[in-house]
Amino acid sequence: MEIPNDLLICEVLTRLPVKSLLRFRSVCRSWRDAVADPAFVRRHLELSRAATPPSTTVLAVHTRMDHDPDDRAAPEDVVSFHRVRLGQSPAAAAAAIVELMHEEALECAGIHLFASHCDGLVAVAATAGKIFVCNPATKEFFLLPPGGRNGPSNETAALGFDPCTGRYVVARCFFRRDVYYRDEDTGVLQYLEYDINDIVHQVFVLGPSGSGDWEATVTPPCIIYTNLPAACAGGAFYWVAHDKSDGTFAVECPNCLVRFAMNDGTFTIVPLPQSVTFMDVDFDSISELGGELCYTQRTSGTAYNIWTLQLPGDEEEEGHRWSLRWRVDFRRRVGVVLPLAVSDDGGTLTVYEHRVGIHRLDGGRESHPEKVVDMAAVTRGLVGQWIAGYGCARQCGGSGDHDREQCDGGGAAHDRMQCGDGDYYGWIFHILGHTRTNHRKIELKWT
Amino acid sequence: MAAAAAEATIDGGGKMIILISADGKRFEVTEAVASQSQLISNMIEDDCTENGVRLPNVDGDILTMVVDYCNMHAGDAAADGDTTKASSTEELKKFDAELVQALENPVLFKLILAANFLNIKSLLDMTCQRVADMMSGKTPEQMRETFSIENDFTPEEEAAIRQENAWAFDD
Repeated sequence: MEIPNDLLICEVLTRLPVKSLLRFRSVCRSWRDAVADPAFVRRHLELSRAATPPSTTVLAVHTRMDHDPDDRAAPEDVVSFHRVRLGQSPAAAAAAIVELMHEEALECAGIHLFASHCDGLVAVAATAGKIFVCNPATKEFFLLPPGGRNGPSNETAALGFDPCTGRYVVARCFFRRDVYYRDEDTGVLQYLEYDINDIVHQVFVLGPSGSGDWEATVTPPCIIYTNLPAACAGGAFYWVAHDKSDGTFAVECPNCLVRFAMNDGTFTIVPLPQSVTFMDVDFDSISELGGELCYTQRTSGTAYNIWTLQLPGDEEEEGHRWSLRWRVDFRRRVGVVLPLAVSDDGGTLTVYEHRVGIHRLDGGRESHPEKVVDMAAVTRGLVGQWIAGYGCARQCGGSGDHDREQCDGGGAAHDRMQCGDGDYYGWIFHILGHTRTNHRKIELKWT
Repeated sequence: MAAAAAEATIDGGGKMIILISADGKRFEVTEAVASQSQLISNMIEDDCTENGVRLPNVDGDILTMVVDYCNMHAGDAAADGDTTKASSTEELKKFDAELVQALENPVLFKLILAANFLNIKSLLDMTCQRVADMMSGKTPEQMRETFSIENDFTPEEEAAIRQENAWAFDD
């Protein structure tokens, strides 16, 4: 009893996880061709969106290797993407499985990364002014064109999906000229005078229907804070921003968000949740959660509030409404916490705690977090892969110095201060978030 | 048991239809149950079910399972007012899980072919997902064996493809 090949391809292969699918490309020619077919890719993604929530977390790791501590040669920066499979129980947390999907040397100096993901695609902005788009599952890695941008001013970028057109879009924001400098004595960033016309906001549409270059949008209505990553939810990008309309000038204390709608190319100002006057840039963050924009607010040394944004309906005059969805109290001191995923019924929340682990909260909105991935185990996994991949001898004569746990940063939002400084090598984690893997071809169009 | 459905009561006054399997077994079901099959639903619309519906591609034992499944799921399609007859969601989930867990090749493949021929989307989804779940951890060699597929790559081509997706081969 055989299943005809066409039935097998369109009904069975489309339901496979990406990893299996990529492995089965080597079964025969017809399977290899089927997997590359755009209609197949679309159906695969649809089925995967409709099925259970993704069970893996993708990790972007920035590794800096300094082959020459005397500084004669620049250190080498490598970005790699890994999948972390969540344990099914707290007991399995220490046995987290880390798989290397893809790694790429970044040929630019002084980088620190902003990584943003959507349906398994990843956009990485390195501050040297380069933006990459990568699908770690298919190992595609593209450098987007610079698009008239000059000078290494601060830049941030985000990847999003436009449900109206079915296209993936990268948005970026930077200043036309350098508007801040680092105080050499204190290391603190100081802002120079600038105005709204110094901001450039551009989008790059991926895929064959895009123009193949950056397209300028209208100017944002207020100053965007480029030191925090943006988020994309429901066909709109959200940027952390500072609204000067109340007369205060404190760009390092963002007090609103701006929303860029992809369908009509307009900006709107979105207030922060009710109880938040200024965003705490060291701990608070915005991200996408279950299709909605989510604001994570630190309320004490041990607890966070997690809000989600409801957009005003067409008929409503009232503006955006934030609802407080969870209060997460760890009952011990915690650092940065970032929500990763929520189950379809809203009952289970997965959060990442900077350096410590991934936790799951079941049941009520004030339930207690249970650790499902131990970051120490992830680090061990990374070290193992790193040694296997690069060879200990090449790096440091096998002394094993680098085996020490050196994970810094983490929580894509919050490691920018650690990156780019010093010539150490180490692992800088960016938890990209919970994502489904996707074998969609990026299909960049070049002019 | 639905196999003995000749005695089935007429639910909600629906008309009864006779389904006849390849080996001549007869199943009497309501139109509501049968029309979960898009194929039969179209036949009902075209008024060509009078003398029974012959299903030359489907064996009696497979049709028994299909009819069981459709009887269980008839509630899904029932009119809003008629919720008493509908099986509860919990029961349905349990029924589906037990049905699909018990299936192995070649019965599972036969059921897929039947679901595809009869065009019963939910059953096709469920059975294909089961096959996908069973495939997901397997090697390309095991795939070729299970589905009798000939490897038409040259050794060099195969090696190159494997190299492109090396991470997918780690356990």
